[in-house]
Amino acid sequence: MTRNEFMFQLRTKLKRLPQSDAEDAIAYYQGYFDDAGPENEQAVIEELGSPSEVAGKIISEFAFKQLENQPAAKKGFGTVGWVVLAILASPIALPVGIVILTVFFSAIVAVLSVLFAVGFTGVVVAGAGILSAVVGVTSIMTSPANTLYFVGAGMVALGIGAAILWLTVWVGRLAVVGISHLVAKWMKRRA
Amino acid sequence: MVFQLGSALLDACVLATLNRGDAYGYVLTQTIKSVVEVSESTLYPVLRRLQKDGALTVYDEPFNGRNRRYYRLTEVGRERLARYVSEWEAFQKGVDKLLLGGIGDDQE
Repeated sequence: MTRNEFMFQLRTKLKRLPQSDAEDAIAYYQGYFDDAGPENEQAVIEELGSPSEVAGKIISEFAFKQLENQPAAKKGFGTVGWVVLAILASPIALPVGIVILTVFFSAIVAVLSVLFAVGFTGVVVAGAGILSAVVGVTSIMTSPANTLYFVGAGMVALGIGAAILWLTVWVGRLAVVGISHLVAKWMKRRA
Repeated sequence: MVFQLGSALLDACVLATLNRGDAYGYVLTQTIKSVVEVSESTLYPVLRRLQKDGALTVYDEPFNGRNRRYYRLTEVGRERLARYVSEWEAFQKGVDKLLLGGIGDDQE
């Protein structure tokens, strides 16, 4: 491999990073080659290892940094992406990475299924509320008292349903972020 | 080499090297490599991290028609280095006692 091939491959592998970070790394390695001098080109390439290894270390470092720097309240589901990236890019053996990734996803799927069930209950309750209100309105000619009762009860149900749904989303976000951090912390200890 | 450098010790080595004077990537790596086995691909992320933590700053200086990026230790970096050094002394003393004699000598 020549220096140009090395740099080309590195550039390709670093595409996942934000542009400024990728350019910093590219500039650093260009400088490194320059300082080593053309006579040491092959030695440098051997010393560096494969471009994917180099890129992997840069990306995993970046992903961890990203996870640490996000303020807790603002973390969203994007955290999951960083954890996956950190796992995939980290230098630990691929089989181990796959195991970690599987555990990570199972945990998230487990939590989300429970939350989905609860959230669905919220939707059903809210739906029943709307239905009740509609039924109430249709009986306005025959029995205004009934209308009052059904519309009132319907609105209460709608409110409870919406509250359940909102709470579910909130807990879900918290859980996903929590799990992501647990995995990240655990991986960091191993790395 | 049998013994490996953990990430804290690697940080300490980089900080200590820069404490003796500013350096650019290649020279820094060669200096550290002359003592411990470490590859460049390990060092770049370390430099990035230390830079983001504010332990070192960078500046460019023209050289042969291009810019060479130098690393310089900051006050934060110096403080961190001092902490590492004192930790290291305690650690080294303990290991020395275990390896070279001291602890356990008076055991039956």
